[in-house]
Amino acid sequence: MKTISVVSGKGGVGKTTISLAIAKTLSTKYKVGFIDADITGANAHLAMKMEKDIEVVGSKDDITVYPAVMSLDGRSIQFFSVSVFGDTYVKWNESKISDFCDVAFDKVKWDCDYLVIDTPPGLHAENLKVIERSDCVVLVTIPAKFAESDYIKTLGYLREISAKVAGVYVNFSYMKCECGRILRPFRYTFNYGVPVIEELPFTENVTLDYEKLMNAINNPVTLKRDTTMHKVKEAFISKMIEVIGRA
Amino acid sequence: MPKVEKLIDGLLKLQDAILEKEKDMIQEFEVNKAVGNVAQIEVYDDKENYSVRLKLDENLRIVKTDEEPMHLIRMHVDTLVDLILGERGGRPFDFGRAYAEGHIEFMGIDYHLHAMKMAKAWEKAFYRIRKYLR
Repeated sequence: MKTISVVSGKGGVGKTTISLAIAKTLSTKYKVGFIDADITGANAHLAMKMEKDIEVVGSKDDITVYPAVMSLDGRSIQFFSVSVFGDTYVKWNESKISDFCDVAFDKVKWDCDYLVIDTPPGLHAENLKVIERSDCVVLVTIPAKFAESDYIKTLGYLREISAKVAGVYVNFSYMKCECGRILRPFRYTFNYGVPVIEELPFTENVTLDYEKLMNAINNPVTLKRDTTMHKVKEAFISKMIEVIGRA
Repeated sequence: MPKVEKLIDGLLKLQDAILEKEKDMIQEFEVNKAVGNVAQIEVYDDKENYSVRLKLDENLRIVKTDEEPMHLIRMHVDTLVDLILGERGGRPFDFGRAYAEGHIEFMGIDYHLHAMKMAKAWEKAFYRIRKYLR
């Protein structure tokens, strides 16, 4: 099973929509599982129809959870989310949220080829844990000025942990007018060394290019720490030792 | 007798009276795997903390027991009352919502799993009483 985390530092860029689109695209050829790891803002279940409820079996310290099975545009997807407790707000502390993510990874019996994880915006404890346990990360952003700062922070963290990044989906990139003209409401461009998988239009139902997605997740780029400062420090230390030696 | 103890005893008596009178209501619920799991229920208010061991029998009837609990469920008395009424803040209130919103705590190993497994079972038992009260 290969785990794919869908990540964005900024909220409202369409992470859930793209996570669902990735799950749907992969489900054309593979068995797919889906974790809604946005514990305090879970809403992916709203796009699906329940086929089979979650099942919890066993007792005491030997409990296993079988994921729910949801229908996503007619395709069966294994699913796990805090929505198992109902469609309400979640008021848990960080440790409880983190424990719930552990349940999703360690206790749920997944039977799939790909596990897509919709993470919350920002870099909270729960999504850091999820990202670190993923095989690859798919970034989502929008080509707007305010998205850049969050994007840079996210990349900084991904470089720190040498994450494997499949690429970035640039959402809300353009609109197609009825007359055929392509309109680009945001003209900002940034990617900072991360390959763009696809530029996506303003639309409710996102459809992804299967080949581009597969190519990206099969050939992720390993982000490396910026070593420039490290080299500067090393040169400084060598110089100091040299000066001290001469004194 | 503490107020909370009176409330739980009253709840159990009411439940038994309902089941005596409406025997067929038992059939509405399939007996699930959560039956027999013992929980230490701790209900507190501003003055006291009352603890009782309860489990669900094969008819999803809430019964007192001396068996060792598998987990601890802790809640404020207001939460217990709202769970009996099935409403809080003008919205339906059940064990799942109470757990997500942090009004009840499941404590012990694998507490989330116990919550997932048991919240629905306890909810069924409470629903039966609630339905009759309406």
